[in-house]
Amino acid sequence: MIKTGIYGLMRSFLWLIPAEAADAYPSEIWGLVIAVLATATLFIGTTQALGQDESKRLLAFSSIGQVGYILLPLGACLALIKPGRTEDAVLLLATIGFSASLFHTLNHGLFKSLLFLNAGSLLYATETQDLNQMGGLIKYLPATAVTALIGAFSIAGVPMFNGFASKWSIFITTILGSRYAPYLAVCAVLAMLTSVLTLALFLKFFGTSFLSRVSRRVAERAATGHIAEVGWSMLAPQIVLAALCMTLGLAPHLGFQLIHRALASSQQGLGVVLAKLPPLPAAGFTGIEGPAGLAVLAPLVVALVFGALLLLAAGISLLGGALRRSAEPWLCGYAVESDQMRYGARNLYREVVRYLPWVGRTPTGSGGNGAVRPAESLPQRADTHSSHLGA
Amino acid sequence: MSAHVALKQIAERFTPVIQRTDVPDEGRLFLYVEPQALREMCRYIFRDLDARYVVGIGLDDRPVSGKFLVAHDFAFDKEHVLCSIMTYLTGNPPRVDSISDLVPAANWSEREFRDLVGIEPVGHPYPKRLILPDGWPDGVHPLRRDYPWDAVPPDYDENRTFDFDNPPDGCVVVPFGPFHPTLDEPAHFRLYVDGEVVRGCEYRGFMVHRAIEKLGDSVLTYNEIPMAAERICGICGCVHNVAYAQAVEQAAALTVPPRARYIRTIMLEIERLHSHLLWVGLGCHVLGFDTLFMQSFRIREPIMWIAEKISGNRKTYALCVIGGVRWNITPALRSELMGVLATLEKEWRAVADAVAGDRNIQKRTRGVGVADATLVKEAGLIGPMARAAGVKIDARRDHPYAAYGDVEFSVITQQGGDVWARLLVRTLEVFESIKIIRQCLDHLPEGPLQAPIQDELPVGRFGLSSVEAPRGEAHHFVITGENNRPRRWRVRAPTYQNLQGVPAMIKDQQIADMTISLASIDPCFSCTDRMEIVDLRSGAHRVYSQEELLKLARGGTRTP
Repeated sequence: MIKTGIYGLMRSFLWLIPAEAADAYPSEIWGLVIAVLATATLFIGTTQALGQDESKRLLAFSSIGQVGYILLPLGACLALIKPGRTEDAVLLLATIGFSASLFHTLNHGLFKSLLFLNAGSLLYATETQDLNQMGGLIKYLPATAVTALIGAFSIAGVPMFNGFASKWSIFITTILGSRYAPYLAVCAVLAMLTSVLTLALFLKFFGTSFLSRVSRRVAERAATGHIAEVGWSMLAPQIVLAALCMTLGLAPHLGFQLIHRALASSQQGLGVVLAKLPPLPAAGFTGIEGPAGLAVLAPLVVALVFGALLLLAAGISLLGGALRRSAEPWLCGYAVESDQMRYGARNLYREVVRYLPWVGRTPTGSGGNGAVRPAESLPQRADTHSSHLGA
Repeated sequence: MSAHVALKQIAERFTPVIQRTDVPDEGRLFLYVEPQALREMCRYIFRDLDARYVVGIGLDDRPVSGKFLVAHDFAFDKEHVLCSIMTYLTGNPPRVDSISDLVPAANWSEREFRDLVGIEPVGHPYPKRLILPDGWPDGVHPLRRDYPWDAVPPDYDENRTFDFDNPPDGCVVVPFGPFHPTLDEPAHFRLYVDGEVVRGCEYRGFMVHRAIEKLGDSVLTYNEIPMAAERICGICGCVHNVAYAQAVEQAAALTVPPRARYIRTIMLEIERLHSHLLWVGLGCHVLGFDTLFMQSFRIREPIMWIAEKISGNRKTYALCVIGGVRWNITPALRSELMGVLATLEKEWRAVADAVAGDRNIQKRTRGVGVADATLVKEAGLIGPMARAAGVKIDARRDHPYAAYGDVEFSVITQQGGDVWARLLVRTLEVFESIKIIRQCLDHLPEGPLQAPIQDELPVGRFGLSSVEAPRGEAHHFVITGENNRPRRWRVRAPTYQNLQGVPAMIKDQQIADMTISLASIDPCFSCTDRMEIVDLRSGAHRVYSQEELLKLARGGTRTP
């Protein structure tokens, strides 16, 4: 549903204008407006998501940010196809921008659907959306955890996953395009910073639900047999979506070719201008080959290098007889571990949210505590904690 | 004003309920009151007369009077009076009205006599176990006279865990200590953390409580206790050594020879010098400023050497006996000490100037761990804690002892009450100590080191003594007794009060500031705990049980 607006914007700004009237069309102004609004959206949406503690609310807020990522290259594209500008290099950038926009739309459709399905599995297994009460679920939902990890890596733009391919083209368009529209450099820097925040956000989503110590709620449900990996009918769509995320991440040219084919079938409007250029030359192994001077994206090579290095590290570890040790958390030698000591979702990134009050408070208002607290939260107690030492 | 004036002020309102008064000299006042008037009188003294709360004492006096005794000590700092409000309790179990809601500084003292003597403070806002270990059975009170000094209750359960409070809604518990909470000594804080902000805490300490007071009234003798008292603290041991001796001397009305008083002053100031230099070093180490840590320790070392030349030890000087001192300062030692002070003053001036202009230290310490004048009053904070908040109290000036009445020095105060102010107070007090030692050396009187004591010390007399330790006022309360030992000896180390201010100091500040905030009170929890034995050859390790440790600790020492 959130992509409908994108479709409308693309149609209105690129196809409603007849190619002959392009000279009279102030596309660079519209490009400025869209790029700036998109940058604000991606930053605000993501930082608001940082303050959420509920799985689906967190994902919904992050969707706002991702739509910002989709609109930023569209704005850049409009800014670059300024009337009268016919150099191939600029038009190529504009095409990459438009492709990035569509590609990220496609990718977001994939990984966000996957993540929402993951959140659904979590809800099914724990009967709560509150991340504070989850923890250690990788033990009980291993397949869901792997797909969720792929989804998180994809949305955070980790190399070899599809989000990286589209974000990479977004950064190419904005950084190289800043030569023609300088404000795009600022947008690019903010988008990169926000990309880090997205990674932080999904560390929170994945870390507090699947990793960390097993929470009291999970332990209780496990003891009564109420927690188990979800059934195949729920798991299969997640696996398919995760596989698509990885396919497009390792072979992004498939996505670009798809988009170019759509663009090539365009009959009118500025789309014709964009489609004039030949499609990006693609090669199976190196992914995308840009024209001379442009960065080359070769995710398969990256994957091979990473894999080789991992094997090397494992080999060294094996040859050296490295010991693997695990230990209980160190609680300073006296305290007994309890659920009260789990550092839950509520406590993460509070300082970031505290220093950015202008991005919008969440409904409860208490520094981003997120929505309604479940009934079985910690018991209320008399206010002795600050006074019983005589102070 | 003197003790008589203070007595007159109190008597104006409370004559009908005062059972007995005792004014041994102008600086001491003992009042016995009816139990039902205790609350109101303490409130009047604390609030209306603006006295400082010092400590509360519980005593099992059944062998003598058949009753229990509770005493609350107050200090009139401006008027130079130490005062003890006492009340006898009948009834079993003994109960006394709690004053902690009116005098918050009494919180720990009341919990302590509840634990150790079994006197129930009725209406206490937080009557939770404070001193006794986790496994100690309820209803057994080791400081009662009928409890043997070396007994372990048969139902001691070393697997019992302490019942901690739940954190407030939305807070995570972060355990802090007992292993190395800032410094090497054990204390456990459960910090209630909301995000990265501390919202409160629960404290569990006294892990190495060694029952020295119990030893003092059942095993040791008058002249053995100073050596045990010195071992209360590894840094300011001499303070307890002198404070105990003075309390007994005051109770027995002994006059200490002038030369002994001057030597006590010199040793106490030598101790303050090394302690303040140690703290500035450690405080900087906690902040990650290791250069100054090393400089402080380098400058400090000659003080340790001169202390060893005088007493035979770098620390633990074993200075006092009742009625005098054991070590003399010879002319050779005197000139050497003068030389050490000259070097110290020069080198420390350079450090003080560097610290005063250091923006990095200020950024880490300004506005951190704030204890303002209100908290100082309510929690009874003392020493550099109080002086850093602009509260000008110093037992050396307010309740002069040893030779402090004969020397001139300034009481250093700062404003703000934060860690930075405390750092400045301690840095500058070093120069005052140097000044005091020089005056004492210049006017060191001739004469004997010890007063001759012909008779046994009188029985049933009360003694109060306050000595300004580097960390604040150390207070000793002594009741003389039979068998050449006191009937009750109560020690209140300065950290006992200062630690009670910590929860308010760390509230609503970043958890990262916890370490320096705690370090800034210059805490003294004292050392050693259980140990783990690792057999290096087999790699096996095991933890000693309570019982085995007791056997190890007591094997080869005195047996009853």
